[in-house]
Amino acid sequence: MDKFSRFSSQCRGNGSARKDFSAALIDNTAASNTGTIKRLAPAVLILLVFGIIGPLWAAPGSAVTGLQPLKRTSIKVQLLQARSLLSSAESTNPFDYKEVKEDIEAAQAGTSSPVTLIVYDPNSFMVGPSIISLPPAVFNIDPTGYAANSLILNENTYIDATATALKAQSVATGSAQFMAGPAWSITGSSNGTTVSDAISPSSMCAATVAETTIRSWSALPPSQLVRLSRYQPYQGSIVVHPWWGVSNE
Amino acid sequence: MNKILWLSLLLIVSAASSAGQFRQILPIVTPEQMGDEERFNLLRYSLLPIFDRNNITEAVHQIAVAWGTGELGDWLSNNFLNRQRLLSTLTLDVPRDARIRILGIRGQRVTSQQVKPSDKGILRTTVAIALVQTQIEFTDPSQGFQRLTADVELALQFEERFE
Repeated sequence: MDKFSRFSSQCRGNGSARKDFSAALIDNTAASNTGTIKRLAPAVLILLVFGIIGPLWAAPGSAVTGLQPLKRTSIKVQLLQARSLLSSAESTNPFDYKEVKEDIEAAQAGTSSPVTLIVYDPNSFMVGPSIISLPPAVFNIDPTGYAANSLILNENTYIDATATALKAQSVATGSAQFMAGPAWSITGSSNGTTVSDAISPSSMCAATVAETTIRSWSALPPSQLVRLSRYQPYQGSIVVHPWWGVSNE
Repeated sequence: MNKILWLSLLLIVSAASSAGQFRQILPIVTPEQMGDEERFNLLRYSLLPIFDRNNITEAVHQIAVAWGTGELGDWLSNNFLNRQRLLSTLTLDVPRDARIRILGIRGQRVTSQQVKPSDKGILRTTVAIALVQTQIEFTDPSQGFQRLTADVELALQFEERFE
């Protein structure tokens, strides 16, 4: 009799033992289930608290966090600055108001290089695309000229030769005219003496006008069409819109 | 032999340390290290809505209207360069019928933003730049209808209050 046969016969011959064995099995399963529930109870409780009650309790606007969706109650808009722009090729440097102010102060104190004034097309009130194609003429200017609403051209007057059209007329003491074309000339008078000089288009040459006072420009209100900047040959910067915020003080 | 090794190690370490300095621990403030108020504000800031770029567009158009109706002063910051001069120019030199038309807004970007608590809620200050193509239209007595276009860069400041 092999081992299996012996075990079977023992089982068959011992009915009570089989019953005991089955009962033990059932008891063991029940005990096992109870233990699992006991072990899982805290986890279930935690899930209940954090999964259901927690979100309800900590919902926006609840007393737990005090956080509520923020609503905009007011808005205030201010214009800090406005300026016109040259084309990107020309606008290489931002217009530096502080620098201009320093320039003016230095020039007024007579201790530094003259202030540079850039004048745009007098026939337009604005700096726009039609004007953008006209690089500015650059003058060294005596800031005291502003007081009389006139432009005083000192020696070393620079004119950007790439400009194509710029006119100035009605000079009380004579006339000043900037000629369009490959070569520029400037003519003016000072104390009855007429001075003139041609300006090479290939470079920013100094005109030899000793001092020319232009007291009025045709269609050129000086307060509108001028700006101050450091002289930078062939480098416009950012042009202050005449009506937005010209700086020639 | 061991002594030589230790001595060499000491020399190496001392040479290295003389070339620099010890690293310092620079703790970054974490929410746990903040005070209750700071932490609360931080949480509130996170609830702020994103700055709406339509604010820029709307402001540009409203400023353009104000330019033509003599109300630009209400929009100009006190720090606007030559503020008074611009206003007087608008009053004295600009034709009465001149208006600015916004042809287009070519670009807009937020350059800075600050959030801080205020008396009533939160104050968010946003500075934005708008590149605007404008056209001024007016009738000149001698030359007739005039159109002057320009590309203008506007720096705008928005102060928004949230509660």
